Amino acid sequence: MFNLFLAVFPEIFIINATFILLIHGVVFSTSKKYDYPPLASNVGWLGLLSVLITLLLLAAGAPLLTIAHLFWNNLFRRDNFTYFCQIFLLLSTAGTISMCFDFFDQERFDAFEFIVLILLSTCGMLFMISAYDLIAMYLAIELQSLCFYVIAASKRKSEFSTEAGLKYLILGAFSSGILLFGCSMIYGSTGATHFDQLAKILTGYEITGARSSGIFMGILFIAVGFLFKITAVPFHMWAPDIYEGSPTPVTAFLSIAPKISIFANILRVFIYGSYGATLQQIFFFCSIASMILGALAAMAQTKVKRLLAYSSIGHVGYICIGFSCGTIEGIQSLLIGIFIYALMTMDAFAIVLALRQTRVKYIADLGALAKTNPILAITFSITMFSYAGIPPLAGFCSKFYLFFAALGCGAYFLALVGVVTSVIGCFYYIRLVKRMFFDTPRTWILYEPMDRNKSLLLAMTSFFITLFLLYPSPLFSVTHQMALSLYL
Amino acid sequence: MALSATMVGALLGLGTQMYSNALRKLPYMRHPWEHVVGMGLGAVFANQLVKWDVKLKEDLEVMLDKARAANERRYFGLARCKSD
Repeated sequence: MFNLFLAVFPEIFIINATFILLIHGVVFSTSKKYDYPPLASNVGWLGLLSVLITLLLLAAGAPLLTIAHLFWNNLFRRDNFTYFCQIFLLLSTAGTISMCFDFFDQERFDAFEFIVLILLSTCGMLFMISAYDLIAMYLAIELQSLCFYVIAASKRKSEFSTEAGLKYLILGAFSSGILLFGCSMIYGSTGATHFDQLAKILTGYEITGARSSGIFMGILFIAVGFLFKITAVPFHMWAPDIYEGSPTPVTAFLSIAPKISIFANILRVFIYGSYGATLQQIFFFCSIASMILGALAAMAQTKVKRLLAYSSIGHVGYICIGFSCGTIEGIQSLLIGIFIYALMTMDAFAIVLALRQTRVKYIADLGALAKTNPILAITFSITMFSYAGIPPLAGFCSKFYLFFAALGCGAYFLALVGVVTSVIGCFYYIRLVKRMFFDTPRTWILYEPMDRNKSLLLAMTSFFITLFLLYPSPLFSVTHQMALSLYL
Repeated sequence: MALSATMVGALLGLGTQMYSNALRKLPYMRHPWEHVVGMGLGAVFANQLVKWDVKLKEDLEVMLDKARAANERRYFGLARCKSD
């Protein structure tokens, strides 16, 4: 029996928690009685608790999930796909928030609004994942994006952060405009915004001869809007500058959380709503271009965050292979790819944040990390080998499954480009390992101990990356269920 | 099965705590009660993961049967109508 209240209670809880934390922050941070305390850590811990409670509510309120339910005037859908994507998103958000606490102390960052905006954007992303209508989807995207524009510029004393926020605002608003234009063209041509209705109208429209330039342009514009948001080539230009300029926890959050929600949206709109040869060609091209650019551009980078930004662009290319296939195996491989990518990225950014304390910005500053902190150097090496796709680590498993899905649907060239760019990518990943173990830095940097949150997060993600291949069954089963529930 | 999951989980939990201490450049067994908590949480996590895996496989079978039945209704039913 579907209980609407239980289904939406996680979202209701997180919205209320966000507003309560905002009021709490405003009241106490401006309180003369308490001597204007900095509340970033305080609100951060409460925010982390809110995310974990939302996760528990989501897990506890799950009905029989082999049946999908539509609610709120059929604007939202709750099924296996929504359920697991939301759980995954909340886990990623919790991981990212837990990385931030030491950053607040080290950088004397006392903007509590940072956590409030992260929670609000998480709420937007939860709605995005369950959106089943173009209007609901767009509103949720805007709720998520507007928060991101602000947190990218949250380090007010840094001109790089302000520049990053401004660039993100302009490009994000532009891509949202294109997305909305596409939605309006689809609505104008079909009279429908609901995904079920769009599926009935648009499925096989290229074959049946029910062609319309409005439908074609609408789908193209929506695809372009989404590709902007996931930083796929050729709409990737904003990503390295914004990832580099934003505060590091923001970069971590931008690299992980929106990709989960936007890929979930892409699957709902395109796999279920409409899938044709044109869309497949667009994603083929973007996947190949992203993999090639991610591999080649990252080789020229000297800064760690920019290298991770280009690496992220390359990984989006690999993940788009799964979408380009258009098969259940392709979708399953996409979901496996996103999950493993998110954990690897959390690991990488936790290490960058740990090193940031010692003012490591350039790749050259990593020299002799193996002598100052050998365990951290080993952890970073494991993460880099996993990014490179070297067995038996988790990154190899995700690429393996993606390439096999591509071979299974006949996309041999896609798989070939994927393999070649993976090999090229090995160069700059292993270059970092070489720097840490065999080079000496320009200036020796004193090691500062990391906090417990980051060390526990690093330990858990490193164990996952290393040991995943021994027991991959739960992830395979859950992603298979998620892929099937898109169709059933 | 439960015993091996418990042992593996406890080992994982212990390993996680020791790894965390090593990353912070502390003695591996500092605050040994944290290792006990880690072992307990690890054992619970591993057991729950195994139970969840079994439930996932059962749910997956239900979904695949539903999909198979829907395909048979659509295509075999169509073939029967045409032959009639």
